[in-house]
Amino acid sequence: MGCARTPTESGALFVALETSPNRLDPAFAVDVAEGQMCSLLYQGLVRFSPRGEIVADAAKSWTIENGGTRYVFRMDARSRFSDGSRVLARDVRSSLERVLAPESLSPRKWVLDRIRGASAFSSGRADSIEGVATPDDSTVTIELEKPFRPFLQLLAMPAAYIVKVAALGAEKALSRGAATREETGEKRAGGAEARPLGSGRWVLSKWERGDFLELVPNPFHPGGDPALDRLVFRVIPEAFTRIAEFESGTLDILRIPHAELERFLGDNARRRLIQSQPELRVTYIGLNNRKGPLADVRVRRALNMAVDVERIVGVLAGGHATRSAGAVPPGLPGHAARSPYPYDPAAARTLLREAGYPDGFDLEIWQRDSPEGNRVVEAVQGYLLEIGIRVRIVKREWSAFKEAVSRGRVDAFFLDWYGDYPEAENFLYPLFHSSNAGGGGNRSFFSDALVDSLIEESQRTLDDEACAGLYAAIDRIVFERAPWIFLYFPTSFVIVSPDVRGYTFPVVYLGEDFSTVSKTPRAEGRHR
Amino acid sequence: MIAYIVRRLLLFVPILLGVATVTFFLVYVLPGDPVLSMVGERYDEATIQDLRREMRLDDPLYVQYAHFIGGLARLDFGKSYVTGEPVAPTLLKRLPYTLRLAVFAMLISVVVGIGAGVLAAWRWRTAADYLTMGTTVLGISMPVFWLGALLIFVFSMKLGILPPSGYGGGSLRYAVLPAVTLAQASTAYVARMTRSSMLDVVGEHYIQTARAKGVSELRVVFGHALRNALLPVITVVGADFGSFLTGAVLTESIFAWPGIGRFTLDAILKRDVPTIQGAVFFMAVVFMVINLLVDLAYAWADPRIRLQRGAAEAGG
Repeated sequence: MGCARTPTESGALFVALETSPNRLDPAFAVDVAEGQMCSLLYQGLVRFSPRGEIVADAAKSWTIENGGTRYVFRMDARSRFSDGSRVLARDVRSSLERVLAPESLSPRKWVLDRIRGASAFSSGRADSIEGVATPDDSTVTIELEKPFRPFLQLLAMPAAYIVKVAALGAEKALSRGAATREETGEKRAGGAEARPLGSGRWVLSKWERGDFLELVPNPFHPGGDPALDRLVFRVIPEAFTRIAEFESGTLDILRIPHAELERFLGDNARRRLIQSQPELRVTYIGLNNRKGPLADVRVRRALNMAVDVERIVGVLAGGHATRSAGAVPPGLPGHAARSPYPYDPAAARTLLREAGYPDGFDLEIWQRDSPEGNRVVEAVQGYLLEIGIRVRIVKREWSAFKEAVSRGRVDAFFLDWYGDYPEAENFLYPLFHSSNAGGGGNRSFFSDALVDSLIEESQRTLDDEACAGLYAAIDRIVFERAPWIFLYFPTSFVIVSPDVRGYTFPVVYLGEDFSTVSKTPRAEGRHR
Repeated sequence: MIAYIVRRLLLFVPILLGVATVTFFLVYVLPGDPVLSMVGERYDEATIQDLRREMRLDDPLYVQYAHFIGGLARLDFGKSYVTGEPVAPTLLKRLPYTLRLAVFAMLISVVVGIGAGVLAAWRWRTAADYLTMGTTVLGISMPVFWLGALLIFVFSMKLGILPPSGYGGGSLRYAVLPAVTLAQASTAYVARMTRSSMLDVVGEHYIQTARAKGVSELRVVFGHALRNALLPVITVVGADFGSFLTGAVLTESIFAWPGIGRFTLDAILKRDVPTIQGAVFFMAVVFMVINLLVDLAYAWADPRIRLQRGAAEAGG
């Protein structure tokens, strides 16, 4: 059968983005689409492999010294920006300074705030970052205030990517406007703003905002040419349309929406094209630990025991999720297979009575309007009514939701947390350390001195086994203190066109650089 | 005529000022903080404060308003909070996409809608009339997202003859499904409007006179009846064209069409205040210009209107 679009010149891979990236500057990359694009256009000293491990990028090797406070990176002499110039140690330093500079408006300064002297530099009290030194063109040393176990993971995040600051012109500083005015040296892509030059595996060749981005290989990348000639990221907001594109053969990789999962998995021909990956994500109902009845741990435990999460996972998540009894996703050191709160409404009622709420109380649960949220929160509403808690569901779009929830104005909320890097710390610290209350990620306003100190200790602990033990201990305390109604860890599924070889569904979205992916279209392009 | 146009254009100024003012305050009443949309899921208060200062969100409201109106006078809406790019050029970059879709949709709506309406009126109370009017009921009541999905399912997934979505670099084939989807309700409405208006006109004396003079039926229908029946149709078409240019959010989302509707919706969801203000201002201009064109088209369709206006203008 004929095809709508000649699907696919061999060498071009078509991938969908659900949202359009706003800007392709790693200092400002805050969402998945922006981060993913930056991971292709820029190098860090290190980066994530598809399996989530830390691997060499612009640095060819590194050593960790002084009990974990000093990192020495040896630059890969072959690394080149897309204008052919070498990536030097001083480019690393100026890139870090660019993010941390007092006039920089990067929302990602926190990624680098473990570096010694970062806050002094950021607040204008120092002219340079004390902890960053470049003794020669191919050596970068970074010193930390104190040991920080996941520091390499932080360096693999977009905010630590290397840009050619020298090409940004005289005005080295980065204000939101400045970045768009500067000349980049890179050939301006169609419709694209000026943006910093990178040394990643790919170079942006076209950007039609809201439509698509096209990337071609960086001819100077030391890894050699990838098998693909082009990567085309098409912005397709509707799930239905993405499916139609995939089924028409005009999209090569499709993240399968939950509602379609059974249909795809039920098709034997397709099943072998599907890859699944437990997400670095935990889904929960946050309880405001400071507010009204929810300040009482007995009430929070009662809520956990009143909801049949097993059933919610089985029916609503189609069984494609792991029930959670803690916040550390399976597969990460520190995840413990402890038994979750039992579904026991009678015990829950007893707990409520003990806490002084024999007749229950009124509770607002806030959510964003999403199919997943609607299904889950309505089920929870039904379960809680059985123990006398009258839930009113409040739906708000993201901006209003985030404002109210982060400022602690709501009783409870349905939310999830995506890890930026595969380490339990990235869940436990933002979600439960008291210093992150509100916007830092701890939106349930959980506060526990022991948990705080154990988290800090885990951050300093370099020994893997000892640290995993600490993570598990923290996770257990959190579980017992029940700051949330613990729900589940979702699993994601993608289907990959049979024409495509070498694609691995990455653990971290920054982990796929498409360097080993190839494509050989069949005579017939449709995937059906 | 010229004086009339000039006066109408001058009226644009206070109207636009009103629109801008209402938009300005409405955006500030909306719940949700624009800064929070820019910082991702994890942020610290210091960053929030820096951004608020840079975006002048800490200024008193009247200062912000004065700043906004001052920029407006220079047609400068400032920079998008989200992309850091100036709003006006970004908006204008999206215009060709939207214009292309709107023009195709309008052509479908006018040609098919008026054609079907004339057919139904001409073959009044026949099978053709009933079939056409039955179809228009379907057209008016069918939700856009449903029709869009149906068209994609049939023409892209089953038959494989048209691409499911995207702009396709301007290829005509990519515009077919979105244009049909966008035009659907308007086409049906225009058809019904044309039919009833034609039926009114057909009873008029001058039609009978024309027939009596032996003018051919085709000329009676198209030369006499249709032209006079068009007046209300022009109004509908004008209003629809305005909404095609400004609010095709659903169609644009289903078909991943990078037009102004989606652009505006994204801005609203992210509380990108300068972009929202620019987009609403643009929409107001579109509607005012279209209304003006509709009024001028009236004068073309019905010379009596021109005379009355002329008299009014002469009278001052």
